[in-house]
Amino acid sequence: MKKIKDERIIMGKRKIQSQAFGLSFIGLWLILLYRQFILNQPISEYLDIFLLTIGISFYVTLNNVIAGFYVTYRDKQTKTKITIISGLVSALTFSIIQFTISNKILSNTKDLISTIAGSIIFFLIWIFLQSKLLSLSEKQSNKDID
Amino acid sequence: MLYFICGGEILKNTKLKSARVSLDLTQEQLADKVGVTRQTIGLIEAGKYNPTLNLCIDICKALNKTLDDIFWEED
Repeated sequence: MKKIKDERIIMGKRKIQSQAFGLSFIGLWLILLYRQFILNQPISEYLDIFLLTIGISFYVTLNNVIAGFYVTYRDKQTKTKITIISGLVSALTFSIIQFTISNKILSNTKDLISTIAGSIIFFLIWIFLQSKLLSLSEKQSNKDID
Repeated sequence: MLYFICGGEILKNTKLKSARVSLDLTQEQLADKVGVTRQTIGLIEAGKYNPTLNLCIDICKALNKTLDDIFWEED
C-alpha cells in the first residue's frame, strides 16, 4: 500500500492557505490605511505592521520575479502599455497621499510644483523598476528553456 | 490536467470505472494502489475532479492500461 499523498487534498489545502494569506494581506493594508488616514497615528506607532506588510510585499514580488511569474506578456506593446498605466496610477496615488500627509494647498505654487516634481520622479523610478523587474522575470522564465 | 467537461456538462469517466471493476478492484483498493484517498478516485470517476497527468499515469499503471484507454475521449 502506497503512502497517501493525495494531490487533490494538497492542492485544496494550498488553495485555502493562499486565500487566507490573501485576506490577511488585504487586512494588513487596510489596517495601515486606517491607522494612517483615519486615526492619523505617527508611523512609529505602527512600524511593526508597516515593516511586515512591506516585507511581505517585497517577498511576494521578488519570488515572482525569481520564478519568472512576474507578468510576462507576449507582445512588447501590451507590456509597455501596462507599465505606463500602472506607473500613472501609482504616481497619482503617491501625489494624493503626499498632499494629504503634508497638508499641502493646491493654490500654493510651491506646493503644486513640488508635488508635480515628486510625481514625475516617482513615475520615472516606477517605470525604471517595472521594466527591470519585467526583463529580469522574462529572463528567469526562459532560463530552463533550450 | 485533463478535462472531462464538455459544453459545460460534466462527463463521467466510465472507462476508469469499468477498468477498475474488470480487475475486481474497489475504489478504496485502487486508491491504496495509487496512493490517494478513495474520495479522489470517486470524484475522478464522477468527472468532478481533473487529475494531474502524474496521477493519470499512476492510475493507468495500477490498472495496466494506457492513458488513451482510460482518459481519452472518443468522438
